Amino acid sequence: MSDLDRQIEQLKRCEPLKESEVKALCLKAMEILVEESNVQRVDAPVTICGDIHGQFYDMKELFKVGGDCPKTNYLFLGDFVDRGFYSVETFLLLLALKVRYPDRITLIRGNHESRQITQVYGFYDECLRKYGSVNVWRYCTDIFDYLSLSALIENKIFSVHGGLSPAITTLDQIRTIDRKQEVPHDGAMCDLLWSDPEDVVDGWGLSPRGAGFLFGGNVVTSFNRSNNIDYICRAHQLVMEGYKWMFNDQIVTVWSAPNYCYRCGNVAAILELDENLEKKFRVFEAAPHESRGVPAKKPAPDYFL
Amino acid sequence: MPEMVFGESSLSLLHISSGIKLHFNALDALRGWKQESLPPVEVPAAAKWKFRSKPSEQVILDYDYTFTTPYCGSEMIEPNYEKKGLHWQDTDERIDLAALSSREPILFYDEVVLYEDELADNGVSLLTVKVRVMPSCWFLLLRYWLRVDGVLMRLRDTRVYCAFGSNGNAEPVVLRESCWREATIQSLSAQGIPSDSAAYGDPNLIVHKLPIIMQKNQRLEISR
Repeated sequence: MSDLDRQIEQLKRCEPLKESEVKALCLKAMEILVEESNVQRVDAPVTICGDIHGQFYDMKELFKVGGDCPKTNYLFLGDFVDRGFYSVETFLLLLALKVRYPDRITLIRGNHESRQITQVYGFYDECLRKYGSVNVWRYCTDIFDYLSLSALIENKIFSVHGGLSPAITTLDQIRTIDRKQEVPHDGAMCDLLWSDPEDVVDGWGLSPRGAGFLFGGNVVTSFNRSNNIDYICRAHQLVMEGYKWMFNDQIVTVWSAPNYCYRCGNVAAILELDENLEKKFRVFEAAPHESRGVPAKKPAPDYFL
Repeated sequence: MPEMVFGESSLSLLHISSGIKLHFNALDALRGWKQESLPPVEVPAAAKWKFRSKPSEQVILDYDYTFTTPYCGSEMIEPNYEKKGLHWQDTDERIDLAALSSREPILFYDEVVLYEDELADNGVSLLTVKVRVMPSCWFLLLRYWLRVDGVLMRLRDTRVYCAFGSNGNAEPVVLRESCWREATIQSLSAQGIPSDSAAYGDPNLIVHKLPIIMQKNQRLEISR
């Protein structure tokens, strides 16, 4: 058994790798990812997965439902880390699979694959806690910069973490972005990872936060038409039913973190596409409590004031 | 609506002999949000976005996405009980913190999340209520906690307290104290208080550094 296969087995048991192993794995991953396009070509059949957010045991449920990699081909739409308890193990397992089976699994970048966001929402603290230093966080966030920004399945289905950008009308415009950097606060790359479809706007909308685009059905129609795309598949937003179509089936949100943050009560979904691009959503629930080593749900009584 | 609304969850306290019920639920809290309807808070990136080239037609949404609510609970008389009027009257009486600090056993404890939103990864907005019942009293804390990363922290606490009289016939007194605190991250860092959001996952770490902007003390009055 090769070192890599042994590491994959170890990660599947939710045991993190040694710091030196993480460093070596990231170096190998970098060589593979650097060759990928900003619009990475993906062949069918493939199973598309949305946000995971460090919910390792729920990702194991995902593989139970979808089948193991490399038997099943996977496309993950980003947000592997933050919020859940096992971002380290989750991301490293996906990365190890990527290095072992580069043509069988595609990982694209989510807005949480960023130095700034991971310092606020958990991954940084988790690395520090599990390794006693921030080196692993550094190796991983350096790899984040190499992750592709989107994928195109059989030239028909465009996949991205967040959504569209007013600066982008053609896929070629995405191809010209220099992605090897921290996610910027504005511009096309930022929009692809952050923006959301929104029913109440027709064209483009600006979020009440003053940053962040919302896009309406017309925008999706014209993007799909000019790029000869059947529909867009994205993640980024929690949907209680695991997936949600909008704008007459022109865009679908896929969410793959069941019982998000261990308290939301939602189900999760993955989208299976067969070789003819026939769709099948597989809905699944969170791993049972006893199998995941998460503190019991009931809070301990406390003398709050 | 917030990303996570726990509409089926609520906390209710019922006084069996009078039918007076205090309850805490997301729907009433969101009615309060809608009514107060604060202007939206801009995130730090907004300054940069003002100079971005914009699509020719753009709708600007301007609701309060933080779901800030003045809600401090709901009260009613249960059906099938004698109708009475309930209202909260300002008072000088204060919650007996000394009694609450004594470590008597907690007979019942629970915490309920009413709603929660991640502000699209720009912070947190969270409304929770927790309660503890001891042999001599019960006490609850309804807390609205908001952190807009790099901009603002806001805490709106409502504490409700009731001591069981030593004499079983005495009418119990229900006291309610609301305290609103708020500070911009800018003003905190001007005082040398760390301003990175990672330091403020738990509002208890910052509560006493946030200046009070509103406070009121009330007691529940029952009119026949």
